[in-house]
Amino acid sequence: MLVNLIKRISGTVVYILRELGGIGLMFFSGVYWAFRRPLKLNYIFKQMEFIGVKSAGVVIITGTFTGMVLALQSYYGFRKFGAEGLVGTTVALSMTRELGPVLTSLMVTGRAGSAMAAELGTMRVTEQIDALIVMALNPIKYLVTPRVVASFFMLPVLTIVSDFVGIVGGWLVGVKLLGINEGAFINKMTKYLELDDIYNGLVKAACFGIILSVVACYKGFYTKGGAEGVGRSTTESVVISSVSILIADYVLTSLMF
Amino acid sequence: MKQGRLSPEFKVGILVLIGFIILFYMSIRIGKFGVLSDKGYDLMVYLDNANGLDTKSPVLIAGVEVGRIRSVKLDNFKALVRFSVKEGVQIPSDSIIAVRTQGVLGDKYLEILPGKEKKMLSSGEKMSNVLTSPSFDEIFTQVGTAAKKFGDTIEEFQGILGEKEKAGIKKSIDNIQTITGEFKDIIKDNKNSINSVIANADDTMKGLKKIVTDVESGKGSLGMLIKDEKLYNDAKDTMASLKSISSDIEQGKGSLGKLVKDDSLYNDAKDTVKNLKDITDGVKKGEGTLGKLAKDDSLYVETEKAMKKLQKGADGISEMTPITILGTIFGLMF
Repeated sequence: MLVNLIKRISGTVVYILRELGGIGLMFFSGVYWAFRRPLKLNYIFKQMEFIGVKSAGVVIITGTFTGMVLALQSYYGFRKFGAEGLVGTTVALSMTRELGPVLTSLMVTGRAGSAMAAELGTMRVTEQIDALIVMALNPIKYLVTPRVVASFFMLPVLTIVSDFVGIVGGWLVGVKLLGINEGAFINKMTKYLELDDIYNGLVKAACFGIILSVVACYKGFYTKGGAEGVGRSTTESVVISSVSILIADYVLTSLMF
Repeated sequence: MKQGRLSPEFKVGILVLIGFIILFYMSIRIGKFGVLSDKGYDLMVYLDNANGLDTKSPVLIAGVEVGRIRSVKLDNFKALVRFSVKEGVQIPSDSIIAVRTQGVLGDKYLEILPGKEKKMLSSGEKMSNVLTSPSFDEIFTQVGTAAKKFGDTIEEFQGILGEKEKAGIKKSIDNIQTITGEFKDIIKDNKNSINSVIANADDTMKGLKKIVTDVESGKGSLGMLIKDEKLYNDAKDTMASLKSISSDIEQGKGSLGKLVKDDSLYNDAKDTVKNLKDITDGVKKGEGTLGKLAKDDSLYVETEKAMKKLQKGADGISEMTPITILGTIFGLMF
């Protein structure tokens, strides 16, 4: 029994290490091929459209409501000691530093990351990837790199949109609904919000973009076991991406601010 | 072929453009682009405590932001704060600079209180007039020390006070209470008398005041005494005369002078006394008539005899009184 336990634990450790190594290798090769000519721009733009433009609606809705609920929640807190003017600051700082990048990344993970894993997994299961290799086409360069590059560029764009609509949502609730002094709301926000807050949020978003795309591509690329395997890969990619994003968020925040 | 016209590049381009516009707009609103604040000039100030002051902390004049802090450095154990001032804002050289706190978050900023000097500060100059206000830490430290001392005093006091002393103090307080109560009663009972006493005192004071005023103005004897110089002059003259008399006496002038200074009178007196002594000696020894009179009792005996005879004679006379009266009448008639 003890031997079994040790076997299990060691098996899990080895599995985790293999996954980590696989993801790392996928990251390096994906980035490596991004700097090798010929750069397949049309593939990249296609992925950008899929990851960026098509996620924009979801991101705008989540961002707006996040900002609105932030305003609502912080208003009840600040009202207790008469500092309602700081609601704007709270909304802006929370959105730009934390919620904008993280929520956007999680939404993109759910929407585009899962799709990437499913797509690549299906290609693997239906042996299309093998066909590419047979045709002497690098599957990493054709399938993975465009997705990683597209995520890297689109996540910050989506994040800045999310920041903005979040602040607008907070303004709507705070000023229009709860009747906070608009001057105080705006001035305190612009006063305490630094440009670095926004930039660091965007840097975080770019990192999250790489994480989610690499994890999704890895999970999809090494799918095994038919249609069931595709489903499993998709689920795993979303879970691992989301957890990795939240862990990386903490690390990046502690490094940046 | 709608799909064809809206190519992926176009859509992505629109999204990226929107992203850049938002980013640009937010950056402008936050207003921390370095381009604008480069116009202007820098000033420096040494502070004892730059706690809470940070790069980009605002510099205000009358509540209006005129610049921002560029750097806070340690220089010779003082904080050297370098801050920029907007172009067009001129600061008199005798202006005072102060560290102030703002808002519930306790943000620190620099406040410049403009002076009246005509000379304006130019780029790179150091401001020297710093208004130091005690920080909360210092205030709390002082309050803490004071509170501790107070506590110690109370403790000492408690140490001094045993049960006995406490009882004593209680008793004293009771006594004081009783006394004040009685005092109150007394005052109550004698309210009218006290009032009249006060009124009298008032009158007395008024009278005194009048007297003092009179004396002041030289009215009345006392006033004269104090104010009039005549008496003084008289006294002075008298003293002068006395002085001249005493000097005369000293020099042996006049009778009194002679009496005091000339010893002939003394000698005469001495001789007289001597003679008198001789006489009394003579008398003592029975010399001379007086001596005999004093010493010899024969005279006394003789006298006594004579007196007795006289007595007898007088008795006889009293028996013959009527005759005597007749004799007297006859004597008168003739």
